[in-house]
Amino acid sequence: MSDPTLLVLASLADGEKHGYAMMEDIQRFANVRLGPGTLYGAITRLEQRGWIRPVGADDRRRPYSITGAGREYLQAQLTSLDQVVKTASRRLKHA
Amino acid sequence: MRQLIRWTARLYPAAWRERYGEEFYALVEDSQPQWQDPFHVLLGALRMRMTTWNSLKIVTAVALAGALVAGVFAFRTQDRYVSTAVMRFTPVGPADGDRQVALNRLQQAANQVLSRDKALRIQLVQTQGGGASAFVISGEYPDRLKAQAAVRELVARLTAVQTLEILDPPSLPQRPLSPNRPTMVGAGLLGGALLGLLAMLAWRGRRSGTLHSQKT
Repeated sequence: MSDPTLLVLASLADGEKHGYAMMEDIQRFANVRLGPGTLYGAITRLEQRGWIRPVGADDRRRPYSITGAGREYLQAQLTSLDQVVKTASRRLKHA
Repeated sequence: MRQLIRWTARLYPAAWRERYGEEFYALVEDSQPQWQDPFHVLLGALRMRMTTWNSLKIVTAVALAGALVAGVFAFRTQDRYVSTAVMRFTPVGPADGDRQVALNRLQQAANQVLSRDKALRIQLVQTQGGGASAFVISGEYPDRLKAQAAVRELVARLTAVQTLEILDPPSLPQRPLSPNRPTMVGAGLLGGALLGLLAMLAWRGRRSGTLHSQKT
């Protein structure tokens, strides 16, 4: 899975983080390095869609948190992915 | 590398830099940049421009880019000058029976020059009676003096083997025949506008499709 928007939502699912913390977290759990351009492209899109929001005062290292709509979207995507994973695993077993 | 990323980030729209600029620069300072990062920042800036610009601005920008590319190509293309001369058999020239022999002699003399110089051409001109007693000699070269000299040389060679009337002496071209630079730039502008329109429609279609699938 390398969709930056899903990776950012997954990273924020357990609490707020700023850009560098997200980058490190994603590298750790998905083994994917999102560069600054890619990460901030995803952050911009996610904020425009109302799936994440900035928290705290104006800070150069501004943290973001996932919104209710973002959580719903992430859950829907995970359910869909889970279905794909289960189907593929079952078919591999019977192949 | 960090400085390059900072410079590239200036390509983002001003409104984006106002909102995200400081935190983006903070991230660049904190992270260990890699060689591909400036390229991704450039792509991100272009995407952001595509989403914030209106249709007219996108099409205009791509059309101007097309005109620029065509302009560079047009001005790098060498000029081609064409000199021409028109000749015909003199009225007191060979009789009909001897005309074929005369033509063969001319053909041999012309072939000697034409085989050496592929830029020269001889074209027969149909006269009112249907015969082909006149012919046009032309030569296309990057230099206008060279064009005239080459045509003049062929004319001299032909008149040496056959009595011919020179209707128009080898011309000295004043302007190049090609390239037609205004036409090339215009074609680039038009091509760019069409490409921009297609790119914009494809981009908008893809974007609305993505948003629709994410909402459902």
